Amino acid sequence: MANIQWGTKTPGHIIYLIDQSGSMSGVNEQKAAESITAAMIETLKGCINGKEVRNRVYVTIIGYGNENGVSIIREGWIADFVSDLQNCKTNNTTIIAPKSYGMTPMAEAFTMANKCINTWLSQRQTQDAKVPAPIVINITDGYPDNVNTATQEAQEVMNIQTRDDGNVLVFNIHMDDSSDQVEIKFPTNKSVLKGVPEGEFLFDISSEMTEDFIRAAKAQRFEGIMTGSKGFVVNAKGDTLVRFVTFGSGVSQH
Amino acid sequence: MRLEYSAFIMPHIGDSYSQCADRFAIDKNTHRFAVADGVGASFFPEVWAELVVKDFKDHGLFEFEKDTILLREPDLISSWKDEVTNKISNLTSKEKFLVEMSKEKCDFAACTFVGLSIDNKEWHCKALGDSYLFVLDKDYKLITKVASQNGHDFDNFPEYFASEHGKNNGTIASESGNISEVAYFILLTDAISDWFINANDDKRNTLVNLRDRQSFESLINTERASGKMKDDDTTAVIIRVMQDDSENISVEEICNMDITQLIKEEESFIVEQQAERLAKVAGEETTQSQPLQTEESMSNNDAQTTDNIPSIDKETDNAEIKTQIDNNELLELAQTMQEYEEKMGSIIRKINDIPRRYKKELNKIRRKIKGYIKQTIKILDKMKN
Repeated sequence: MANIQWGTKTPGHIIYLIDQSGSMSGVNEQKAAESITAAMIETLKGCINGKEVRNRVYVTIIGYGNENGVSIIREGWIADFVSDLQNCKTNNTTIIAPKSYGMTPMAEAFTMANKCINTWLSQRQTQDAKVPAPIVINITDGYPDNVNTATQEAQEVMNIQTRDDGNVLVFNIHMDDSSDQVEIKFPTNKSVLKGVPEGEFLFDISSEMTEDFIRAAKAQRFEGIMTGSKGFVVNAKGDTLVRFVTFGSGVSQH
Repeated sequence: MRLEYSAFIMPHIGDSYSQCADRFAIDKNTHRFAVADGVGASFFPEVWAELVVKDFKDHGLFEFEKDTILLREPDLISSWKDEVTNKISNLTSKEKFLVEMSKEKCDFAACTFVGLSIDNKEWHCKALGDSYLFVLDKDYKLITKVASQNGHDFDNFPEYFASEHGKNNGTIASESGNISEVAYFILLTDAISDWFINANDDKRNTLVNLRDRQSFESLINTERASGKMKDDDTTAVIIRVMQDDSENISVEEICNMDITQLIKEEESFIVEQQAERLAKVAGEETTQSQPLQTEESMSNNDAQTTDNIPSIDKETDNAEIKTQIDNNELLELAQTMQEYEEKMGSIIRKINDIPRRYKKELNKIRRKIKGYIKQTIKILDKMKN
């Protein structure tokens, strides 16, 4: 499933979960914010008709680990972000302020995403038009405070079934710029993740790639993806991060 | 032989005609009919679609080169660039940003095409993409259908003419036939072609016999609502062929939804609505029996925001505005107000959207608008003098 094209009658919902814990301090917090900005600009491009923006995508950005614990940083139709994105493009800034503080309450972030998705679906699914499966993109550099709870909460999100388009999709990207850590992209089984605890965890909380996803990922120059690949990357470097978040954001934007 | 034609066009649900990227062109003297569908993901496709159908109308059918390149491609591309440059120069900063973003995704225009030329004995058609020509006999039976993607699925990746050399996609379909058996030619863009192919005889016949705008719009709305027709820009040119003994071909227009005229009407309507809304806002401001804020607190708030706005005369009321401006002048006022379009557009939208809890902001905006109105009245007065 997950093949309903986003449009004004069938708008998509993207939820970004961004790790803003203390370990993100420095390069990672900046790159995470930049990747969301770049992805939102690409999303915007897909919604422009002439000199106007169509409401094809609703965006929610949830930060976790900042001084507020877990909170919705930004939310709205992509059209609501035009002025800010224009400012970002002109002044080379980011749509959210880079932040890093405290623990990593990823489980609570997935719980909040769950609520946002259910609110969205309860509003949209009362109408006749079909509702595409929402997409969650989690950007992190590490392990959650509580792996078991985070796994459980993330899987609850993955198990949310939409009326028309299958389950909610969850993609994850784990950032690590250090040169001794090799990138592992879209694995099909856990065996390649031995000795990489973040990888094993993300394997359990990432959606499987369908043909549409594989096509979209290939359009972002990802290689080695096949049926059965899971939608996540471990030890992602800067360029991979931007391409991954852009791929995840645009998978239903043909 | 006598030809009767009706040409209909309708944008996406909720879109204005100015957002519609379909175009058609008809030449009654040379009996040429063309329809083009601007590809939505491309750059200013409506401008390109307009140029391509006009080119066909003016120059005819057989002037394609190598089956994929329009013979006058350099001129067409040059015209497209000029028009796009002109359009961009009139945009606001935000609109320019959006256009720039759109250009980053695709920097040329594309359109599908179907063109028909009719003479005493034969008809000739060329087509590229998923716009179709359907040819029917007097019993509404399909004689043939022409499209370069004939038989393919309708999707978002059609074959097209591009406004950049070397970017054309697909090979032109070409077909001719004897006119004697033909009773109807129907040129359709993709969504309605898809519908036509799958519709039952009754529905098809309803379309073929449409003669006025209202009936067309009613049919399209019904079929969209039922899910049988995709919500897309929709164009239909229907030509009825009536054989007689005459060697000449006479052409009669039954209905012609000229999109240029429709866009003008739409713009006039928007200007009138803006003017009415402005007058209403001014009236509400001065006749409010229960102001959202006290005048004192408003003055305090406005101190930070109305530096560049002329002060509002407290005696100015709705009646005064009405005595100064009759209906025609109101329209004139609104046209002058276009100079303030960038500022005013966002202010008006804010008024519509913000909830009552933002009373202070609402009052600031209203006072700003009154300032602009007063400035405009002054301009009008100067113009009169």
